[in-house]
Amino acid sequence: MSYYPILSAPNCKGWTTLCNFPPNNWEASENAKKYVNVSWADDGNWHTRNIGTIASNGFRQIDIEEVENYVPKSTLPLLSMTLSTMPELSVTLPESETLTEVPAWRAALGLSTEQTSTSYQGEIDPFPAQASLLTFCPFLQPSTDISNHLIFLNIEKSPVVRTAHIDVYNPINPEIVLGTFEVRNNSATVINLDELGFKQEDFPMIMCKGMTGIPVYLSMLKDGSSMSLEHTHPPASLVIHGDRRSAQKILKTKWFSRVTES
Amino acid sequence: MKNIIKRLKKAPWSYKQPLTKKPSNIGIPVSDLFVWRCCEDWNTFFELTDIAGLFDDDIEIKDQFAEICFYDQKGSLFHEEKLQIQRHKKITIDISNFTIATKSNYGTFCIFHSHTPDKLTKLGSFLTERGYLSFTYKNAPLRSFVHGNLDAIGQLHDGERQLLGTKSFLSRSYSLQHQLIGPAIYEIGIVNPTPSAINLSCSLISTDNEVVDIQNTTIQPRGLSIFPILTERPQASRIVIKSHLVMARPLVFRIHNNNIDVFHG
Repeated sequence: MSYYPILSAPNCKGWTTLCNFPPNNWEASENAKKYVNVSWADDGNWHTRNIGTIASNGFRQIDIEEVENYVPKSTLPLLSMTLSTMPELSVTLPESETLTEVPAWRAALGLSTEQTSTSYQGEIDPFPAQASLLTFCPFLQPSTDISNHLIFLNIEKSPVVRTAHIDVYNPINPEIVLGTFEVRNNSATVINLDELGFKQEDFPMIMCKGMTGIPVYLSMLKDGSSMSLEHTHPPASLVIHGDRRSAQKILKTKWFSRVTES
Repeated sequence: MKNIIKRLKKAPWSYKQPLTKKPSNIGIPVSDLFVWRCCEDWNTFFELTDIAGLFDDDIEIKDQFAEICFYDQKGSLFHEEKLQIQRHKKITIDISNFTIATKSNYGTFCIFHSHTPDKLTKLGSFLTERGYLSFTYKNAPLRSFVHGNLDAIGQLHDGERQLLGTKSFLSRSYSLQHQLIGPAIYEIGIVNPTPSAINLSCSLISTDNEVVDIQNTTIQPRGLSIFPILTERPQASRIVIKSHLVMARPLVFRIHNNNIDVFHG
């Protein structure tokens, strides 16, 4: 069950373009006219509001301005497409109908300035609360003219607010924490990576022991004229076939223990 | 009963048609077939990192290397070289340093890491380079990043390279879930990771579901086709790719006012 967030970042506006046709012709899927909904977590509940429909085989772009009057800034607006109406209030994230699996049914998740825009094809599913994050960032473009940000996306079934912290290291010296940042569930937390002293050849390591999510990286020229947006794969993507889950565990055990020993 | 029917319907699409075959040898390195574009307007970069060392840094780094192999748009090998890697650092490789030997302006490349940690081999897994490349257009100061897409090719123990993509029994349609908005130029890149030549069509469809344009091509193994799509009309459009590739996920370049956005489907 996938949702499509509307991103946020400094000096940018977020937008998401939904599409109502499947990515493939080999999975049974329904592309009849659907309801478009926005959901968000607030005051201990999931709130959902219907914001119209999307035609069969159609697109619909939703800009942040369309939802910001009722979705609090501290929470992440989640779009969904459903064949039936969703409950306005629920104590757990509503089940959004599974659309396709290989590949997943995606939307364009984008950010724009007045001069340009960038996007990636994505979706987000709820993460387990008992999970951790380990990722390495290859996207930094250190320069006085470029700003580099990590956008940490998380959604969980529970709407109850909880926080964790992300630590940033240089894996050459894992004993030194270069930065610690609080992150919230059901949110997009934006972290500025420029003040951590990384150079072009560095390979930042990012950890969160209390929460997992999707790390998305935004680099942009400070005048807003050019942008780049991409996310990293989970560590399991460094291997193929076999027991990938155990491979990911090897990686996390190694690096979490190195940091703990420090 | 419903599940059985669902499985039977899916069988012609999944039986003996994995997205990525298992390599013939155990413990060999695997790589994506990354897209390179190097010419007057375009340049390509790759972030080379010590992915083996993330799992196991007991082996001496001076004994480790990455072998980079370049193919032109028809999938012919024109250059290969061993590159040193650095422990827990990244090296930004300027791909144009390697493409002088070809007349092609674009093609594919792959990277094989010399060392696969034993603990991964014992899991039946293969270390795979699916990392991160970036592009610049007209010498822009900001690179546009995109991550790898496929586990496309493996380097066997005897040095031969095995393509790991499979051909589908049935014709498949891949619909890019991205709204083409003009005025902009879109360039759609498709790689063939299978050992067979693939016939492929790229259709541009309007919001009225009319086919506005079709481009056809044949892509050789390891080769790349780039379809240019000019959207001068403000009318929203979409793309459908038809072929016998199990998944024809494209790499998409959007050019607007000399700015680029690069992403994959």
